[in-house]
Amino acid sequence: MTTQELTQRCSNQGTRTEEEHTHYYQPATDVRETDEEVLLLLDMPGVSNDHIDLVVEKGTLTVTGQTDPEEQGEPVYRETRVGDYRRTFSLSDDVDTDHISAEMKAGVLTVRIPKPEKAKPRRIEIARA
Amino acid sequence: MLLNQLYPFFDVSKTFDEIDRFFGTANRPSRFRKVPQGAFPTINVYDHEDETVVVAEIPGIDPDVLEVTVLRDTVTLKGKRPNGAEEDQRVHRRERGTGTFSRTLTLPDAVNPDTVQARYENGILRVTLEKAAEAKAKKIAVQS
Repeated sequence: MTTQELTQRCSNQGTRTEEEHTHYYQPATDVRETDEEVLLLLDMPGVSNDHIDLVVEKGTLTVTGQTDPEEQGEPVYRETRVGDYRRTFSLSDDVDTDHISAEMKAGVLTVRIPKPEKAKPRRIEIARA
Repeated sequence: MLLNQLYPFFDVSKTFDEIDRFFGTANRPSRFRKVPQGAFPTINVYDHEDETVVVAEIPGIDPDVLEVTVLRDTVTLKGKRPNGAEEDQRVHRRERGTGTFSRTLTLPDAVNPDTVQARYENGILRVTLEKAAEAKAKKIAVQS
């Protein structure tokens, strides 16, 4: 996607100005794996359930979270800036993209990517002589 | 510093200033310079006329384990983030912090500890503190 297209897309979303939309913050992420699935955990404080967007395109998963507008009032001390989050992940080819699920809880997004059947570990029986 | 001896014009903070200027972020508070490494949670403080609002980013905790205490003009946030990975999980990447945290913050004004309100939503703790009577701005009528 070219910058122009991106700006176009962002300005179509309306509520926010172009300038704000060109800045995304990268959420801190944990990646874990079980026998059945790969888990992504993303810290996205300030993002509610309805403002999460997951897109799979050409083997890339893009997670975007839109934060609520910043608190009014004069900032007198600041350690972090408020803004939207975005991070992309490469998926391997044989992932079943239809069954990716995501759950938002207390500002943490959990994405579950089920492993395809052939990628799951299988126990091999040892033949006894 | 050795680098300064070798390159007298090398100055890290100046380099950051240049970067800020380049990206148009000059004079804006910055994530990677103001926060001491590992400080958690990150806190913003907003001033209103009659109240001070403390906003802390604490994703993924149970609000019941969060402890907010107020003493005169200081606020302390204490809590614990769950340990995370279960036994049958292999960890490939760990960027999110875990464990106990405690931060104390001095506010610009004294506050009334009886009317403090704290609300945890979407991983953000918002503490509203009413300024103490003596800290509120008073309008003085000018006589002529």
